[in-house]
Amino acid sequence: MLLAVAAPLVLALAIGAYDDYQAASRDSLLRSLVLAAVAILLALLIAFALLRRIGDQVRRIANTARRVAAGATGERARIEDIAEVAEVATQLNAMLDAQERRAFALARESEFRVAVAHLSQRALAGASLDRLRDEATASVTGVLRADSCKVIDARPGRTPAGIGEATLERAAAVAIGGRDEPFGELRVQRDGPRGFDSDEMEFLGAMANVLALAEEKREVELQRDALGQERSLLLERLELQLERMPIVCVLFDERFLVSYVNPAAERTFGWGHDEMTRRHPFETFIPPERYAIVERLFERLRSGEYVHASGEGLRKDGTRVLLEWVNTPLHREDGTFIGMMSMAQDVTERVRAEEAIRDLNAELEDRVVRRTAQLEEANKELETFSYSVSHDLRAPLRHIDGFARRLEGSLTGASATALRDLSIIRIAAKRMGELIDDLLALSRTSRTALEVRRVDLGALVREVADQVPPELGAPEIRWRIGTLPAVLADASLMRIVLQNLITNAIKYSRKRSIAEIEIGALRSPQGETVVFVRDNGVGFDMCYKDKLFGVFQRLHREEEFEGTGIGLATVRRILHRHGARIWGEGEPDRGATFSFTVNLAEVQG
Amino acid sequence: MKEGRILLCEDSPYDVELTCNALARLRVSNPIDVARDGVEALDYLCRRGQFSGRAPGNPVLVLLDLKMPRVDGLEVLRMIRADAALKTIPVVVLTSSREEPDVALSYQLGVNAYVVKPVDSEQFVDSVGRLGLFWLLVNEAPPAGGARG
Repeated sequence: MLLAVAAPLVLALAIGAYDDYQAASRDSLLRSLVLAAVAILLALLIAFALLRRIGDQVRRIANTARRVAAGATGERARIEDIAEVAEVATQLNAMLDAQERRAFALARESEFRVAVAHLSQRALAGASLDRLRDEATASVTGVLRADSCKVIDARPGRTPAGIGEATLERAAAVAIGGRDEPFGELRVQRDGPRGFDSDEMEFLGAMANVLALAEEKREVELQRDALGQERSLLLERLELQLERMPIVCVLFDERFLVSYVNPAAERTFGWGHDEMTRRHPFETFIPPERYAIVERLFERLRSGEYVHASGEGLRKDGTRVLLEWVNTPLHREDGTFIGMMSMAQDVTERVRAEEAIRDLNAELEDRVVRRTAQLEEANKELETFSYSVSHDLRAPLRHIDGFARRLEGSLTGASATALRDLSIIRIAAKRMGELIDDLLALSRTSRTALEVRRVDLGALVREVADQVPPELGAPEIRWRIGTLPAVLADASLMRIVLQNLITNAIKYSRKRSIAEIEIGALRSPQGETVVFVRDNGVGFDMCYKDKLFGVFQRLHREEEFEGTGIGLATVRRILHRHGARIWGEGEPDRGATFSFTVNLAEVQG
Repeated sequence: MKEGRILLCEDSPYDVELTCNALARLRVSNPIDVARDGVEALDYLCRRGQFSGRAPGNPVLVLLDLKMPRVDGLEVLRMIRADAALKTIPVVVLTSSREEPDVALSYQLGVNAYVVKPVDSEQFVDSVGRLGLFWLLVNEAPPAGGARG
């Protein structure tokens, strides 16, 4: 500038001077020289002023620099008007800006680090989560110069708090904890033109991390506590069980001295806890004859073997108990033997009971053998009896009848009374023969062995019905035979049952013009299968129903209906041998029904 | 009618009478010899003892009661069947017993027939008479073998 001002002046002067020189006048030359001198003086003044100004500006810049060097902050050089000085000032300012920024950044970085370190320390020191959160949010608010900072809890069961009523855009949030299942969120909000830069976000992240770690630590602690509680609960229960259970429990230490006995052990052995503990079991409940065996057992247990044993224990009063032991050796992880836990069950009673049962069984077997022998004897006697009955009683009967007949024949011209008397003798003899036969038949049904097998009742009924002589019954018999099941029974005895029942049905209904006989099977309410034979004959009075099955018991007169009264007794005896029941229902002149239970051969669906 | 002899082994005299009566009623006229127990029966068959003077020749029919004193019917039957000279003789058991063991054993020992004596006299006559008729008339007797001399 100076040059710009000075140059034309000098040039003008120079030109004037030249002009003047050309004019070669002394006045003009003097004038020119004076002008030149004035011009130079002016120029010097201007230059001097300029220099002074530059000097001032430079000095100002230098002062600024000095002040900054002395530690002032925020100082900036004024941008002076002189270009070069302005340039220097600008550069200085830029440098100062940069320096300040760096300082700021460093300071902030340091602030961040301090804040994070402080929070970490607090977390390590065991501050509660709530306090940590409060401190974290306060610290973040301070460090970031934020308007607010909150921790939003992301866990279920807690209602998240909103940021605030007004919607502000200047907010940042960082998850506390893992991305998948964060504990929550650290939210910060700051009014103003700037958002949050990356360093600030990094700081936020670091604080969130500390909180996350603190949360995790708490979770682990909670789990550990829970486990600890569980374990102590288990231990408590175990202790309780040991104390309460009826099973003897004895703990031994590594020298096999008793360290603990439970109440069951005290009861079983008769010694108290203090009498048994701190002593070797040989001094108390192990009887002398078992010392050697038990010594060997201890050795095996020491080497880690699990041993079960059974043997006698000695009570304080000198009596013995029989015990079954389960022994578990206890070792540390490194294999050192630290003792043993033994549980035992008092089996004295059980063994005694078993022996008693065995004795009882042997006795029962004995009794059964003897009883069977007795029964066989009785049976044999019965057989002999039946045999002689069949022989010895019949012979005289035969003679009575035979000779009465001869007498009849030889009594020509005898009175009607005499002849009648004779015939009665014969009839009586014959009757007696029938009774004997029936009795023998009845006894036979008891004696013969049951051969139980599958019997088709339907077929059997038809067979028996066909074999009944027709003159026995009514002129016309209407049969209604239902489906009868296959049953488990002795075939020949079942035949006798059906013969008797069907013959009875036919016989007692013969006074009808049309006899109706129904034979069928049904299911009783109790689930039994019942076979019945029903007729529409003369029936019977139910008040005599208990006499129905008596031996030689009859409910009708001999003149009306022949018979010995053994049929139903035989039937009942046979059915009883099968484990079945029979009963009769009837009404005078309205027929009768006889029903009996059967065992089905197959289960009917 | 062949003139073979009938041996009736029966201990009861009444039964003897009734049996002979029945046979007579149906006109069985063969002579009837009676043995009162097993010993006599065997003596007769072997022609010894009180029967040593008997004419040789087996009876054409033996009616055998089972229940006899000393030696019973089954024993006699066994002896008869065991003896070569006697074993072809037709033997009919005529007894009161209907007991199965008796029947079974009799057949096992080789009896020809087993008849139970009915109590009723009509039936008795009927049974025994017809029995006689069958064995003496209808049935072919075994060829006469000589009795042991």
